[in-house]
Amino acid sequence: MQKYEKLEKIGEGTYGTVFKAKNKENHEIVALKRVRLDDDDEGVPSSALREICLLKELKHKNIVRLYDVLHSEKKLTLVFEHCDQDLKKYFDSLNGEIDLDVVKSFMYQLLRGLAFCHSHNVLHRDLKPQNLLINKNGELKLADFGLARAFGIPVKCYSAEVVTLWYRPPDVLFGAKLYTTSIDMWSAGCIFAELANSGRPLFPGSDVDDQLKRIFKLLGTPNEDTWPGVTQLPDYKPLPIYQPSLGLAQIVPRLSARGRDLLTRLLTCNPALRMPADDAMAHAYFHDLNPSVKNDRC
Amino acid sequence: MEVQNHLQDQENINGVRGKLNITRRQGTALRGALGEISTNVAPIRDFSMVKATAANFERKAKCANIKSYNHIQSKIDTGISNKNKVQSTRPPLRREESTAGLATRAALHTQAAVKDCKNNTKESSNIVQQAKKAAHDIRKPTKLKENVASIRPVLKESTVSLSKLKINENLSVKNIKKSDVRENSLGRCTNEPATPVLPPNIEDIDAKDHNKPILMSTYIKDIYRYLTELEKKYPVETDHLKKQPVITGTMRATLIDWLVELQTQFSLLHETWQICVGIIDLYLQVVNVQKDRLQLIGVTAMLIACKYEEIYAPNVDDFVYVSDNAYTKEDIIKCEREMLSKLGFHLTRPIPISFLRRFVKVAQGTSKTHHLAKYFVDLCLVDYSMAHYHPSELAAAAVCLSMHILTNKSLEEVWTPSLAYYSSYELNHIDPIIRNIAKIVKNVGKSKHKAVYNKYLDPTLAKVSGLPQLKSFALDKLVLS
Repeated sequence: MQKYEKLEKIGEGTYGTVFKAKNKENHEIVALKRVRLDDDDEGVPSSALREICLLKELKHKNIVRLYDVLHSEKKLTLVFEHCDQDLKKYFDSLNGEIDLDVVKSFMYQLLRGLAFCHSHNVLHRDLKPQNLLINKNGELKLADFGLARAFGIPVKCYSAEVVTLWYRPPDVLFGAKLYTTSIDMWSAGCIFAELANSGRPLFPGSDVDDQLKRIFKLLGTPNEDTWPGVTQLPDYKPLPIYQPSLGLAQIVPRLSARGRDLLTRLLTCNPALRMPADDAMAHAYFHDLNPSVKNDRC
Repeated sequence: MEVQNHLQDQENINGVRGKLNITRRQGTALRGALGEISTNVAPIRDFSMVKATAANFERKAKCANIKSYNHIQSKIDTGISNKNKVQSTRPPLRREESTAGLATRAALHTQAAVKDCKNNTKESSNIVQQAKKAAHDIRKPTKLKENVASIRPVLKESTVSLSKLKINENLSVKNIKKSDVRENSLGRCTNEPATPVLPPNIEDIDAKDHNKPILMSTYIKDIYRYLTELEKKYPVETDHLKKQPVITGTMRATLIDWLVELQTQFSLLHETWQICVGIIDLYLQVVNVQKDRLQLIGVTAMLIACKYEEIYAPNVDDFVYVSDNAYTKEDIIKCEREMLSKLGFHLTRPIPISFLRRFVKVAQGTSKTHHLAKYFVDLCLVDYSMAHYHPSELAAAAVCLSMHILTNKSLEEVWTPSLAYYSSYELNHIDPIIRNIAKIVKNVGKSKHKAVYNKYLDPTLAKVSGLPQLKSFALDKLVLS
């Protein structure tokens, strides 16, 4: 730990404390994620193990870079590239409404990072504004892979206890354990709406029932016609029948018609019909995206 | 963070409950099997270190009602008392649950799967009944004490029969298979994936999968391209133990053979074992190991693989126990640190099973083709002379040989342009590998490493290792020519 000088605590990740620090050799500012290893523990926690293993291979401009891992008897320290803030803090710092070009740029970068994960057989499973980092250049990076995992094909059953409630898709809310990359696309949709509303969460539910009701009030309660198999999901329960409100214009008033169309395709209850990230990147909404963002590949 | 507190909700509780039912039956059945069967595994092993006792499976009975087995718990501390806590609180957020074999099945015909289910239900209920009876007689678990270093085969009492174990694995497979089949038909995908550029004579085998989200038709071609890059990035060299002063290929085989049993007995995924073998090889390739540490490397590799792949990884204490306390918990945790640091946390090396599923699909093979090819690959993973082949090479050769044996078609007929395209191997490339596999299969009776052979005698794996075709002329011809 001699190499880094701790500057300040930034926050708590899924499984560790995050500090801002300076590399004493080259004065580079980094983020240190520290995981305590207690004697009676099970060694390296599987969340940390997965985050490290996956990030070692996922090198992309829109994914936070893991520089180094310091592994001692008492603690495990992950050295990350430092970003100035996360999207949540960015929202908090906004004076007034967000610039719509920024919405477009952030959304595109989010999708590009996701498409990279998905085409490298990784599910993130915990997308939310707190886990998206923003730097001074307006670059957005996916972070906190503590819940992420590699998937095989065909996809197997994984844990249903993933994704923070507000960003969790209806299939997983109904207890689905067999999900694919579509799990992240729902979260991306929620974040898209939140971006367009300058940081107001789209579905801030208080529990699973409330979460589902909030979703269905906007999108209509699914049934076997709109979503074959929904009633067979492990924790399916009949909920009040809401008709789809056509009020997306009221929900995200500042978003263009194309933007609303993309949002609808991401916020699709039936996971099989939810749009994948690489298709979303090709959506008409992004046709007038600033070319410097579009061409800015890894 | 506060949002996550709301996670304590109905479906999670149900999820756990579903799991409990499975594990409870599993525990009971195993104890039953243990009471009845004492020598099924022992005679066929020259030595091993498995202490396959009911205690290992008590671990699996995490949240189950285990009051009546207190006598077993007190004998062997497997942390059951801690596990009970799980009952009242939800398990940690990122734990996942084991679904042995599910993925395999998903690729196969639904009909076959449904048939399997029925059989399993019948078999398992019988076993549960037998087990209930037998459970009364058990005072303490029988132990199979052995040690890889000193090679002292003590096989007085034995362990659970492999076949019984696998039936229990099926219980969980079966339970999840239902939802799998269900979700398969969830709906149609409206999104057209970018059309891949295929040669004119090659069929797009993913074209019909748009309505099957679990087959990931959108990304599947990218993913396989990536996996092929990865296996080249982390190769195992030919004769990769050549710098080891003590460890030989035979010792490696013994270790990996034992880990097959461990996988079965801990009800771990097939993937986990294959990942574990990869970790062991990459480590032994760069670090010299003393004989008395080899088993430690093995269990630690398995622990790491579990943390990476399994929804619920066994505890470190469980690994201490199965190694007959040859190592302490601290030894394993320290070894984990050393191994991860030496490997630079590069565990994402692909495994043969990932490719095998793909190639069986291209070959339009049956579930039998699949199991037989899997058997071949697993034999290769035990055999030192095959350790340096890329996972995709092993999978390609295994699928080709499996099709050859089951269809009576020549290798040339089996290896269609489609298979050559999707595997990226021409027949002449995999031909020597196929002949090596044929040799290994033919000599399996003489080998002292029998865990893979025994595993595939199970009905759920179509008893492929006992197929009469494997003693046939076709195989001889490959070996001789």
